Amino acid sequence: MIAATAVPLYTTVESLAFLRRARLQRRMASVIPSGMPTAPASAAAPHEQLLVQVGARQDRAAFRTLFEHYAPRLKSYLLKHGAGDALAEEIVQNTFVTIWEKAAQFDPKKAAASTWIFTIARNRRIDAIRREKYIEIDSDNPALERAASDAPDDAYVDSATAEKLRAAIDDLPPEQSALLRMAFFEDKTHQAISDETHIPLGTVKSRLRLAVEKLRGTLGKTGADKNGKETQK
Amino acid sequence: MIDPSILEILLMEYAAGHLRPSEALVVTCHLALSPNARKRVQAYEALGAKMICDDCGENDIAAVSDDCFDKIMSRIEQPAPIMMQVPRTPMQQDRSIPPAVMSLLCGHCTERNIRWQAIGPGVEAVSLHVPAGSPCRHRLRLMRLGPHQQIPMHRHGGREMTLVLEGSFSDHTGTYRKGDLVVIDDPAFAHQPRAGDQGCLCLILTDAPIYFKKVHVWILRIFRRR
Repeated sequence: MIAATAVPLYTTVESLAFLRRARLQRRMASVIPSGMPTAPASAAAPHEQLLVQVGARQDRAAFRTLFEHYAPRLKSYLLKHGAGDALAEEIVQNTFVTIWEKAAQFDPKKAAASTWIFTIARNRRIDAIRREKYIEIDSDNPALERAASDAPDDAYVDSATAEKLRAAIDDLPPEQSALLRMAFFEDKTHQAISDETHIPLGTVKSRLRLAVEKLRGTLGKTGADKNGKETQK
Repeated sequence: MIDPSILEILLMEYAAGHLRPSEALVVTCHLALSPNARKRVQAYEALGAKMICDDCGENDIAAVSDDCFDKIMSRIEQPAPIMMQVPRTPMQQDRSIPPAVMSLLCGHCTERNIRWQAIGPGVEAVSLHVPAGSPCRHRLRLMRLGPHQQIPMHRHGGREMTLVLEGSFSDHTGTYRKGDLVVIDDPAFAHQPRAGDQGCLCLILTDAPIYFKKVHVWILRIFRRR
């Protein structure tokens, strides 16, 4: 049974790969005619495609386009996280060297390009600023516990989820969303936020909890935990 | 009541890259055991990317220097010599620990083997050490309780993270099973956890001492400093 299906399965995988290549080529064809050297500002800019090109055939033009788009944004992120100008620039360089080296491992079915690039920049920031290694999970490790129906596609948190989370943050009362941004995006401890805003530490914590509780509800609704085996008590 | 939003904040901080190595290791072990938590972290990473990469206004971006791209390309073309990795004796496998967690502990702790020490009746523990770039007060331990073994009433001086690796434990707030990460961050919260029928294997991270209501000699032995 297994031996009998092995060949057709293989050919199916082959033809799927072919179809994907063909689809990618079509997409490229639709991008190249309008081909601006800088990243198109539209949300439809296929950064995933560019990353795949960098990984598959060391495409420098694609790499440059990604650089033009992400480098200034990442530098701004790093400056906000307390890196000086020279260090921020160095971390941007480290990030792009890693992007180049790892691009072949990028799988557009598993992550959006922006998320993948963000995680690399985050890890390089921790390397450089804290001299620590970011401890990550290898999502391909077969020993990981899986949900009953943890199909590979389920693992992909689409940008729609991020969009909903973003909208949920915008809906928060301003005093909660401001704290959330400081805690999450500016690497500030609760104590540092308290000192800076002159809000008592207990209030900072309780507001953050209220804010996070709402986001948690949003994630529940988007189906991000529909296959989760447990609900935290 | 153990507030679930504390766990959510922790997952968010992990995604944002704000946790210290030993905290991140406990969260990573939780992710290895909980597909639900993996998805939540991915969602927060996507959110982080969105705020940093997509929604960034033109005024918010910081220009990089003119030669930044050329420097990157020259580094790519002339890769730095590969540093010889010092071969490290891997940590000895311990079959009582779930394999996904064991491989994380092997990869990130400095211990060569897991040397269980009896620290009281029905209680064994072992301290683990995770290298950090700067000093931190965290203390990471594996603890194993025999079936129905109870830890006396105590409260926590700081934040305590307890990840159940096998078996279960219960206290007045509920029952926690394999993969559950219980975060206690309330100095007033006191509990008396008791292992379930199968006993309980936990990974515990504390950043401050634990205070018992009644001090027994064996407790002093458990919680003495290394």
